[in-house]
Amino acid sequence: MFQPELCLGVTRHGIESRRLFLRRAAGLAVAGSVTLGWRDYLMAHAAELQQQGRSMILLWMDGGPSQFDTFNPKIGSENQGPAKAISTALPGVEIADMWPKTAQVLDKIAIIRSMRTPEAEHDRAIAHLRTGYRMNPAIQYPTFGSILSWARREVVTELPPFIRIGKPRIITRDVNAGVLGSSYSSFDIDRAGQLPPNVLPRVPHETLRRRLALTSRLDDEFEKLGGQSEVAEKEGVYDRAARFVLSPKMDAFDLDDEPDSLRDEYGRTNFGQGCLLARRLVEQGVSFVEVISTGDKNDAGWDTHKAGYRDQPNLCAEVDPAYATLLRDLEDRGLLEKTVVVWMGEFGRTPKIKADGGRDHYAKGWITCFSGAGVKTGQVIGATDKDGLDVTDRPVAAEDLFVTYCHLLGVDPRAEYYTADDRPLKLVNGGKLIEELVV
Amino acid sequence: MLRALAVGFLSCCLANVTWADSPLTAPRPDNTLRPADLDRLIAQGLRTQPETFSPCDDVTFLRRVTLDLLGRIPTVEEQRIYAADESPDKRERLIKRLLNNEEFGKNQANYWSDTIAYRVAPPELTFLEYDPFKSWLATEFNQGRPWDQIVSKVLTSTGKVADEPAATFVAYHQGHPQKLAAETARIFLGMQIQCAECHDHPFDDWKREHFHSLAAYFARAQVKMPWNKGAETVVSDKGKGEYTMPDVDPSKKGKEMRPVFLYGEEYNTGTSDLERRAELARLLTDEKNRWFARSFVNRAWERIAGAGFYNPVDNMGVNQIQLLPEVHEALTGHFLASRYDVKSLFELLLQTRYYQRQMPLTPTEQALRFEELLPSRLRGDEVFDTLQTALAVPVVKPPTAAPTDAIRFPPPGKSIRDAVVETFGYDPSFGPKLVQRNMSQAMLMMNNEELQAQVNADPASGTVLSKLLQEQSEDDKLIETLYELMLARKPSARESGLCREHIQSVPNRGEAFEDLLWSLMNSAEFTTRR
Repeated sequence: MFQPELCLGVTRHGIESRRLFLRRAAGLAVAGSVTLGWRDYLMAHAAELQQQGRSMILLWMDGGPSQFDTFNPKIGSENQGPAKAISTALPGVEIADMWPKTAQVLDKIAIIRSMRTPEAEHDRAIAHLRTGYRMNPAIQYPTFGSILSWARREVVTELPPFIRIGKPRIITRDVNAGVLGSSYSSFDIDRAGQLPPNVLPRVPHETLRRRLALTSRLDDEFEKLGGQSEVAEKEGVYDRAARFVLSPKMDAFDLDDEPDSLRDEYGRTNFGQGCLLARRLVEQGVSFVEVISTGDKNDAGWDTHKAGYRDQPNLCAEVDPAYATLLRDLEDRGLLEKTVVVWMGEFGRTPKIKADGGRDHYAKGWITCFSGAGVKTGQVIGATDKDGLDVTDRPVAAEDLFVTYCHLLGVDPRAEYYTADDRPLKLVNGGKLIEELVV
Repeated sequence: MLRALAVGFLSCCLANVTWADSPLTAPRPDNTLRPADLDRLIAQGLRTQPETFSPCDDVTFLRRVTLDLLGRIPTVEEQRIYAADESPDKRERLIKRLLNNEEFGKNQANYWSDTIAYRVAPPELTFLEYDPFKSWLATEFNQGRPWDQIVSKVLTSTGKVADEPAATFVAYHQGHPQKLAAETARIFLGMQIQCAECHDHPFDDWKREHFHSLAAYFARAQVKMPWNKGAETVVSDKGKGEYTMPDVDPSKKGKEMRPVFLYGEEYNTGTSDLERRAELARLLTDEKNRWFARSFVNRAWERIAGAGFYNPVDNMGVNQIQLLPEVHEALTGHFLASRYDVKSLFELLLQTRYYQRQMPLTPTEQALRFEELLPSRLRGDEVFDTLQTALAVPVVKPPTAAPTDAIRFPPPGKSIRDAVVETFGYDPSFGPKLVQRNMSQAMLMMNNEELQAQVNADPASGTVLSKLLQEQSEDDKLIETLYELMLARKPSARESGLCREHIQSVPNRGEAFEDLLWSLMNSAEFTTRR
């Protein structure tokens, strides 16, 4: 039963200041006029998006994958390196040969080959691409999973709305719920198939129920001593926590009842099994699942500065079967039409190959891929020049991705929330819908 | 009204300070107060009499005051000693005793370290460590170092954090002048001026120049942050350079700024890093700048009364609502007259009838305006130290792996203390009322392996519970002890009854008491200050 706390207006602050009151009153008027257009648009184009309960799976290539070695090979250019191109299910579109399985399902993917973003350092790029805002030391912006959880805060679910599988390769750069607060944080599964500590009861369910009943009776007594507000809040939280840890839906986290053949197809890596888990979770209605790929061998992940061709085959071999199988499996179960699947990292790699085969950071002409709900797949959007140096057609910005996520998931990107210190923030600031991407 | 509405519309940020003609800057002569004076002022402000603050019982008082001063509940032994004391001034003496307990400094240090740490932007490849800063702060508070001297040291220290922990504030903000200016004003003056970084406030004295001239005091601080180990961060003097205020039009060149404090005191360019920061510290802590004292008092009051005179505590200013202004100003006067004596301020506050009043059985709306005491949330460190006091949870810090070529940034190991502090922790500037309980906290208390290991009746486990079960064969007495252990009070007759009922319903005595201990640990009261 995940229902993040609702903002209780006046009582949230105990004492509401005059300025806050005025701001809220003023904010309402302003917000009303600004959002009218968007609402009309939603009504006209996709009135029931929200009700359809669409989910999103983000496949995050931590470190920034090379465009040359994934979905935009430049055969004939000296920048290409050892990877060859192969033909795909999409006539005329080639991708790097380390992606044979994905090539067969490319008709289920829309590739954007023209990402152009301002940040080429990991921390700043991760902040930008995961929150839609440029990094600002004064404010921790929330990532999209938290934003979506906030937008759907009134929907009560038994499983957490935002689940993350796999660990970011370097945790200091991580972004999470930020100013939205811990209620909108991700529920983290480090290893697919294993639950994090503190989730599984350490006693039989029956014993836990007995204890919960006793603690609740003790709380009733504290209530009589003046603890009403604390008891009410605690009981609400414990009720949700108990329903979660005792829920039969917890089985979704267990992969053992999946057929071995399917588990093999996803790949017996943490990322592969994570993709399988992601499917099981969206099947249960989880709003946002993020699966992190790092290659599992070191904390360089997709950040292939050194000896790029040492790690590249391993990284691609981890993601290729998992990505392709995920799209097929979702489709087979009728889930693809209500799940948005996005493949991306924080930027791409430099066209020029270094002496040791590595590539540095590069934020011009990199790639994102979209599939699933509301996406017009089987197309390539944008292009770079023959050497992959820069975008020649249809640059796409980070904010455009966020507006598009919102569109696909039925969320108003201009909706505002208040940070705990009373700053109003838009879910997405700026950005335009990638029109040709959506149905 | 129009002006206020317009402020609402602008809605980005507000720093409503009019320095020169503030009625608050010209107060009565400052005197130290006695508790009775303070009670009279509070009562006047609440339009009542001090006698209406009806005192809580000794048991409640002991738990409250121990939590507020030491950041944990009293041990069973402390409860017994206090109960046995029959002298009329036992509360007064207890307060004095606790103020001289070393845990007082630790508790203050946790609060102030968190106040800073929660707004430090995470650095790219460094794991910040606050333990050296906390130990240093704890010693300062325990030695009775006046607040102005502590803050001066925080603002003017230089060198490596591990050797000079007071440099943490400048170090962990990476010497960033804007961030340091904003946080100095917010934390030590209770002022939100960061919005003036980008634009003048149209209705206030805060101009962009104010903000950027303040930032100029930090122009020459230079910070080198290493990979992994935060305590190896080094602050030093850049040796040259001045601060430039960016032009509103980013294509234009910015303007070089002199360091100028908020009241207009100017300082010279060309000065060294330490000269500038020392000058800033001097002006900030000068008693003519009452906002410095007012800000500390506001936070202290929030901690004992549940809400600040200004809320949130770091957003004071002449256009903000100040509750009980006479009380706030008199307490500020006391703090100034006592030369920023932190212990004296807490001693005064805790000796009042107001502080020692009881929580109403049924809170009313009045509670929002200080008339009534409301239950409030414990900080993360208070939750753990309370668990520790009751159950002696072993704290083992797993070692941090050494960096290797493959794993260059191994995350620091986390102990159970770290886990509890992190899960229950919150930014103290938001105050306990803004902070809501969440599911991670519930699951931690319900299922965490190391905590649950304490809920073990097996004699071989060596837990507090198992020892009590062996020592005490009478169920009623054991119920009473568990209440004292976990909630620092005896159970009511009804509570004993329902516990007894539960124990009789479970065939195995050990299991029955495991249930009870678990239930007390997971009770709302356990994590509540009342």
